Amino acid sequence: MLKNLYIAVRTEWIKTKGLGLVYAGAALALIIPLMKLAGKIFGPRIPGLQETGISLFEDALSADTGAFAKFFIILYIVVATNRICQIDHKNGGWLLLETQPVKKLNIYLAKYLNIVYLTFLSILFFFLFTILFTALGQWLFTDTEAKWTLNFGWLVQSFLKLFVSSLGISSFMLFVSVVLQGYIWPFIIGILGLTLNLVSFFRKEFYPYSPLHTEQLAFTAEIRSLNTFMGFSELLSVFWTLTFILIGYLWYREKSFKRAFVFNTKVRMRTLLLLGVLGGAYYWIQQPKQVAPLNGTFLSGKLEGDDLPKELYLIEPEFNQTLATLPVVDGAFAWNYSDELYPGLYKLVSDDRSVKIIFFLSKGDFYKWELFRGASGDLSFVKTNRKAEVDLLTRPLALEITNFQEIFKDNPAAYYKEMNQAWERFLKKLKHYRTVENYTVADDFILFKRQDMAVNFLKESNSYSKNNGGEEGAHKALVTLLEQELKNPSDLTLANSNYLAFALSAFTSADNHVDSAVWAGVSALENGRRKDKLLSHHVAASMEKLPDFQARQQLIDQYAGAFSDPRYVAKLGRELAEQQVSLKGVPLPEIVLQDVELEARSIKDFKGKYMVIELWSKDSDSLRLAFKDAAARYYWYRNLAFVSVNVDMDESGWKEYVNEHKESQNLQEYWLNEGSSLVKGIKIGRVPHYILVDDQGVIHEFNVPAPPKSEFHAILRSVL
Amino acid sequence: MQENIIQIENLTFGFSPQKQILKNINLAVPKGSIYGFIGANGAGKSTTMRVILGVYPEVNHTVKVFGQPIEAVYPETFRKMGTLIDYPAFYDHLSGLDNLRVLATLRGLPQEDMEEALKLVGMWEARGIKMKKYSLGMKQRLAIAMALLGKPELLILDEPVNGLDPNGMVEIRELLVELNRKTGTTLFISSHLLQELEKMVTHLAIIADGEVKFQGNKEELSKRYGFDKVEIKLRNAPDYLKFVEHGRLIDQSTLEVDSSDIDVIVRINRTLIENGAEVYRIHRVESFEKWFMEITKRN
Repeated sequence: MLKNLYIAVRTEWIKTKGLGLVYAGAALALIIPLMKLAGKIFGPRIPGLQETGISLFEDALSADTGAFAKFFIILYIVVATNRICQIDHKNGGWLLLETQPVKKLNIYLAKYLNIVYLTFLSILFFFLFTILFTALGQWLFTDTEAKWTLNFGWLVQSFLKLFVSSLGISSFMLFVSVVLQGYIWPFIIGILGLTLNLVSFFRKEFYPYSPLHTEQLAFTAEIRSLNTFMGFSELLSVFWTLTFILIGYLWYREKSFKRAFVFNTKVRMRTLLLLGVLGGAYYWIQQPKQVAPLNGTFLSGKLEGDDLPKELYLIEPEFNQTLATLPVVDGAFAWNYSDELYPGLYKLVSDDRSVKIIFFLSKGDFYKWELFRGASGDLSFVKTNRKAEVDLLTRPLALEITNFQEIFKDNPAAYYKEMNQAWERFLKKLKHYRTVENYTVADDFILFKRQDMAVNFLKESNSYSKNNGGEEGAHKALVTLLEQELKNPSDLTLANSNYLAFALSAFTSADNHVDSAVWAGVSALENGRRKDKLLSHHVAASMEKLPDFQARQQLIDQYAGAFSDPRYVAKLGRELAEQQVSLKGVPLPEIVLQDVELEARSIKDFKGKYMVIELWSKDSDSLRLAFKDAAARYYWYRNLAFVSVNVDMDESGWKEYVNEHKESQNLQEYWLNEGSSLVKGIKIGRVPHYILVDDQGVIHEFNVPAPPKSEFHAILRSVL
Repeated sequence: MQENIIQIENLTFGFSPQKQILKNINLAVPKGSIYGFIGANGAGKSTTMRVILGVYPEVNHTVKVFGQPIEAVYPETFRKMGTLIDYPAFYDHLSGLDNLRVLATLRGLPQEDMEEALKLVGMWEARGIKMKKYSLGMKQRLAIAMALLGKPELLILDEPVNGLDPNGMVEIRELLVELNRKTGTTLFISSHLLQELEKMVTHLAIIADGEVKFQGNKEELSKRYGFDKVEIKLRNAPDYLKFVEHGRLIDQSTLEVDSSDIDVIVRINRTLIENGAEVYRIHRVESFEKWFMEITKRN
């Protein structure tokens, strides 16, 4: 059998002679590497571009394999398959083969295997050309240091993923090209598949029911972040491969759908069985998977690069305390934990904050990081059972009800109808949410998202009812439905500030908005975590409104006895200490800056003017432009100074940068030695960060929104 | 007992029950014969051949080759068969030699076999030229070479001399006859070029409108339909019709007699001369053309 198949494959290969398919595969594989090299030769030189911490070749292949996989290789399969079938459609080729000592199954499989082989060659060409041209480009045109290594494990995984994901596409296109004679229809179908991929790309949706979509699925996520060597896209590809080989061969054997699938009772039964098996397999493959929780919690990772920290700290979210210290040995760290954990957003940080990872964690989870530190910044990859949660935290589901109040201002009936429908749509979206690896959200996170969204819906609905009235029955029904969701807030919901703020506001009424009602309401709650969380949240929020340290401390002392868990009191104490250096009303700490002439300047030198301070790092380029524009816009306000302070470059690098980038009017550039220590010291979460200091050197606003936002200008206008 | 290499019994075939293309076909192709399968365009020749080759599905097991039902022996038995069906099949982007290589690879044949087949049909010199540059005659020769590849025991050829010039027709006819004579290869050949088959077949079947009107050897056909005739050319033919027993007047200068017996013809000639007839030609009328026209006319 295999020998006969091999002979058939060899025969098919002879038939491809002179069709130019190998050259076409090589040409398509050459386009991206060649264009990139041409860009380096003829394009503008961009100074300051640095290499990342990963291999030079991996960097190039990571950037380009997606485009090759999602477009060029599919186009190649469409064209090659069509061409290969056309030579038999013309001049009685099928008849010639079918009157030879070769089985029809072997004829069909041989065609498929030749297409697969040609695809393999094209992918091989792409990898070789990319590696070759990247090396050439680096050697000829780039003077920065690069990592000239090649990770074969990654390379093999990328290659196989691209190859295996193409198998189903080849199988489908062979089926189409055999059944539909002539060039046009198979080509149109192939182009439609590519168009659907384009739609998927722009809409950020996945269409796994399209056999031409597997490459899109395979190369949406970073290879290093995939949980499994081969995954959903490959499984789907194998399914399409078997499905269309089977259906295609049955059709080809009979040359008629009627004879192949509905000819007589026996054939009809076989068709039903086939539909059942294939439908069942598709249903099973499509089912989103949840990774079962492990017995313990496992964190591990690998850091690569210079100046690696010696240890990392795991900070838990409940009391903001260090849960564990993880030593970094040869760039690797690991942590296993079998006790209970509060679910929430944990942090993994290094002393110098050069490593700061925020991630959702609960008992039974695993995370495995790879972090590469390079001159152009860090690259991080993570494998985890919480893929869907990570996705939803970074790209939350859209809150479509935001504009409903305005749209249905005078139509309460329509408003509540739409709200109910929006709620149903949200639940459906959440239930069917899946990552590109076909992981769905775990039940604890689904409950959290439902309760979080229920809060949003309740806030919107209550606001609408208050402002517009009408349809009280509908309002009440919706509120009842949503409150039912919040009847038993989960551990995660209790850590959600959105929920806590809403729950606190529920203690007030239409008649009684005073703060005392909230204090009374919280105090009256039964002791336990819910009360502690609400109380802690309310104390922290209230502290911000108080003018000085003593008043804030008194507030903590006043309610300290009301907490069941004294660790909340300690947490409030730490928050107070942080507020001391970072909140409104506190004098800005003394900072000595250095200007481009190496002159030292104290921040106090600006006393007498309002001052907008921009703390920026080398990753802040886009927002820097907005800040420069703002400085120019307020040029005529002589009582306002715009000060930019770099916090992460070395002195010479900063000077070079400032000299290369033309300063805007009204903007003064400074460098701060040990700038990262300042950022850490005043608890700044991320840079760029903007602070407004008044003419007395006191912080007027510690967290000014970024300049493109209208709030930035509203705050400035309020003091000018 | 005579061994039949192709045996068809009561074959009825159509793509829909309402329209049958072949109706109750019975054929027996003796081993070693050159079997002519004659019919006008659309009579069912190619369909019959495709059914024999298993290209069209036949579910009633009415067709046997080499004594076995086709569904049991294909595709392995194709090793013993060479075929040329309808318009010659080939890959026009390949050279003649590569076209043969496709089949030789499938059949596991050596290079020498390709060379031999190409030389047999006079195409060795043109072996490297791509087929799209071949003339119709060259394509036909190559198609025959492809059918001859591997020295098959049975050749099934549909219109094998289509597109060939008169010399080419003679060459191929002689080649096939010689092949049959030397190696005993059975030839099952269809054509509507009746003169070509007339000169080479040992057996024949005539198909019209999906039905076999006749099958047997040439003598049986002649005997059954009595088509040996003699045509007499003379001046004022109507005046002498009365002197010719069982004669027919064809035109003003032609009389026809249903006999090819020499004694009868000599006697008729003598009678005509004695009665003053000016006879200038006597010849035998015998051809498949006439037979074919007659049989299909009777339908």
